[in-house]
Amino acid sequence: MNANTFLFNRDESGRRGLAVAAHTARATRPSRTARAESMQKRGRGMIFAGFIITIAGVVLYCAVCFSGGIDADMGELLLENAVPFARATLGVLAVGALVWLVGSFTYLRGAMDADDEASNGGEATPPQVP
Amino acid sequence: MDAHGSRSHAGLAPVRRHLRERLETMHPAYFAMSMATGIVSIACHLLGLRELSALLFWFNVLAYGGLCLATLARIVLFRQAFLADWASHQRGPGFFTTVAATCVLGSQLVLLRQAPDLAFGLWLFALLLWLVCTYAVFVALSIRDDKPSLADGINGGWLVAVVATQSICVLGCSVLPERVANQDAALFFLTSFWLCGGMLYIWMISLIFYRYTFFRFAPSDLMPPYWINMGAVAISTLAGTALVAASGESPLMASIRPFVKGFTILYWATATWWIPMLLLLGIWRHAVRRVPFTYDPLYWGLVFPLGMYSVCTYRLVNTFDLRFLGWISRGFIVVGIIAWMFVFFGLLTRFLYTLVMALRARRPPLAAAEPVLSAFRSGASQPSHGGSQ
Repeated sequence: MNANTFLFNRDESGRRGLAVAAHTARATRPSRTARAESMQKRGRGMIFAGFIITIAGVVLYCAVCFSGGIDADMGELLLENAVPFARATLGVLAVGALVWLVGSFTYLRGAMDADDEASNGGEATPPQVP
Repeated sequence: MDAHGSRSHAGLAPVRRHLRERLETMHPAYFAMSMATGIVSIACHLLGLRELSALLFWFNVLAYGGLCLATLARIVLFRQAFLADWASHQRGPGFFTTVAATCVLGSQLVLLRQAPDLAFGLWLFALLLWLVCTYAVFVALSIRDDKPSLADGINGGWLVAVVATQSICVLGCSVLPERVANQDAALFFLTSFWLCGGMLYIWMISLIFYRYTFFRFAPSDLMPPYWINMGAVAISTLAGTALVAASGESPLMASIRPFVKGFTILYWATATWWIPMLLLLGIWRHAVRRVPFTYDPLYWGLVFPLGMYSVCTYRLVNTFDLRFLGWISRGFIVVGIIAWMFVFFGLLTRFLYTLVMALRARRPPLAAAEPVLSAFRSGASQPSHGGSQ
């Protein structure tokens, strides 16, 4: 059996330093492409959700803090009671940022996997290191 | 282990190449990130959003330090590219962001950390940078032989020269008068900066407006720094209110105070006039002509004017006792924070891209799977079904 008939599995086996036979690779190629697309789709959804949560967090945080009025001293006075709630809204903001971050990471991984699949074409060739 | 190490080095070569390319082509206007972060932080502080303000302050300290280091690395590694930028009509005016970013950080130190001595040091450094940028950029642009047409050469980014000049006045009003014996001289010096900034704005905005209305204007021409059309007059408003606040009992300032106040309102009205115009042009660019939003460091030049408009309106409200305008300041800080988040997420995506690339590059290449391949070659571990197709 020639080494060319083997495909280096970049997503799963690659990380563990394993290689699979070509017939297995051919069987998994569509599923890997589908997986990359699914990752991109999931990533996009998380990015969108992250944006929405972040914007909601910003608006809530500002609304809570502005409840004291534009006068800084008066605002500070009223803010003392609002601090726990303001911090909770900051938590919403942080959650939104985290969701966005994970979404972006997922999307980028999916996009790079899809690129690799496309550049590898139908042939079972060893991967090019990006 | 050595083999693995060398493999990792070879695998990371594209990442290193990517980073070197980024550093070589780093836009001089990248300091707009520090300007934008600083002014949003100041607006948050003034409007009572203290936690966010503190968070942004520390982020700005990191951003400013990182940008200084990156610029130094660029000077050392890519001196030719760095020097070429000074004489570029598109990129040269971007150097003025270093001045404005230094002054904004200084203002943060005064307001958020009560550190006027450190802020005074930054003001002196900013003054030196202003001198270098003003006379190096404009002289280099004047004497170069091949010049672009007005349509290709000018953009809203040129107005950063105005922002830099006014930022010297703004920070100076906080740190200079109390440090010199002759307050009148200090205020005269700062008023001169304020007037110079106004003069530069009138020159440049005339050319920019001429370019808008009499030359072909493609969606790609409407770059984010066009928002500095508004930001430059917003900081001029802020400088005017700072001068009025710093004037005290100065006889000089007493005689010109009505003039300063009148011009301050003129600047604020001009800034306000620009907002619907820029919004409509933005809608035309992105919604009608479908130019996608993709991260560009120049987008920081859009965030800064939003934060600055909030701050200058807040100061105007307090200086002129115009309480009915208070909601504008609050509204714009919400928009400014959201815009900051969007651009910051764009920046993080860049870092994530590099990170993902590095992680993938560190995966063991085919050679690492050689023992498994050998096992397959010997036929010991491979069942015969399926065969090769």
